[in-house]
Amino acid sequence: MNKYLITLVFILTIVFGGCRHLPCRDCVFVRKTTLEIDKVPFSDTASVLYKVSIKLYSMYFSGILAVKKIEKDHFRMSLISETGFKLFDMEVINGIAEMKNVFAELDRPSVKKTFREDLAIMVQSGIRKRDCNGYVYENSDDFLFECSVTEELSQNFLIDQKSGILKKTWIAEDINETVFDINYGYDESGSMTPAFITIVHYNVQLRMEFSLIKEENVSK
Amino acid sequence: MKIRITVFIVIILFAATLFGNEVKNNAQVSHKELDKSVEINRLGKDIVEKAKSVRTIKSDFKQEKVLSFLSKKIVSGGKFIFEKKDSVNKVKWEYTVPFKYTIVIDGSRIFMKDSNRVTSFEMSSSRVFEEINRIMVGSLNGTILNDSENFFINIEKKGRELNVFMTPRDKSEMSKYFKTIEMILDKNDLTVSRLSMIEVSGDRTDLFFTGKKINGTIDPSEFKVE
Repeated sequence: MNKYLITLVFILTIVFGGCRHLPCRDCVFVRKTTLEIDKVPFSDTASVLYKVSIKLYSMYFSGILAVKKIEKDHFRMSLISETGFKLFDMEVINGIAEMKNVFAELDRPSVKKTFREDLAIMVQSGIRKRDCNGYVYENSDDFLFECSVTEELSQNFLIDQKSGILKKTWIAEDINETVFDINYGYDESGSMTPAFITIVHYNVQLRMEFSLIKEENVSK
Repeated sequence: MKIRITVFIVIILFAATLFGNEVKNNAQVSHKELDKSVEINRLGKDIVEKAKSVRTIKSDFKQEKVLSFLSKKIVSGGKFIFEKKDSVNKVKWEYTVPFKYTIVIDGSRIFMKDSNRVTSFEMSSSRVFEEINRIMVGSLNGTILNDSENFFINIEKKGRELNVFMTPRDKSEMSKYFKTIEMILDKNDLTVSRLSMIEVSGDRTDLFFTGKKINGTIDPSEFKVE
């Protein structure tokens, strides 16, 4: 009897163990671990300007985003139109964002919430040592941290193991239910100020693109 | 008793003198204020009259955005074109620095060209955008000085320039965004050489217009966005 029971438990372990929830395709669970990112975007940024384009459903906005790192985990930002008109001010401290001077057209709770969450995550404010699951990919050198945010949602961090650079972060329910993702692209200077950033939402039609404006072209 | 009466008379005379001086001073102040008000009205009328004769403006512009948390200004610039034809205003802001971006306002419609993408919408779909355009164009062609319903207006002479200060009235939509709008006009041709919009937060946008050409010919293709 015991022999049969042990065999059953063994089979069930294999079946359910094999069905372990995976946040990625072609990846393998390695270990429970603490979030560690060697090279965080904006870690060496003082102040920076981005050309911004935002597509929300059929609407299209563009402008300039000014980002200033006050200190670690503390950022100030302003989004202005090309003509200089302020669309909003934002301050992010330890991952918590507050908006002020919001232009009437954007002054809606859902829109403000989206900007607050996206931009706070974009500058990687308030990344603390979280408990995560670590995964490696079968076909690349990337390492994935899957860190629980709520019971349903996790925030994932994709890191190039060779350079230690964070390439992408995304919030997801599971592998097929990404809420939104943020992709970072860097130039060859070695700076940790991203040259390109893309934020794409999948539950609403929202796409934001940021491209770095070189300082010599702007401040005189 | 005699002394008391004398003291009383002295006090009365002293008080009367003081009161007389006060009345005289107030009269002088009122007179000055009246003079100033008359002059502001006259200057305002001159600017508006001059603006009526402006059919086209072509100018280079430099835009400086000052944000309190940035130590450097955000500088952009390009070419500005304005045309008033059959009481329809056409405006073009063609940015070439730091990147190419064009905004054309043709009557009630707005066209924006960013890289190769062109978007357009009715200005009435954005009340605030409509207001900002009204301020910018109204400042450049002087018509804003007629808008005493939405602004307190003050004009000061300063050397070869006229400084116009426009403070949005509390009830106006603009009071939510701007503390004051300042215009500097050249006394000779009464056209705007600088327009500053100071936000409620203290941040500001300064526009400098140089190389102005008034009432020159504008090619219609300038307002086409493709």
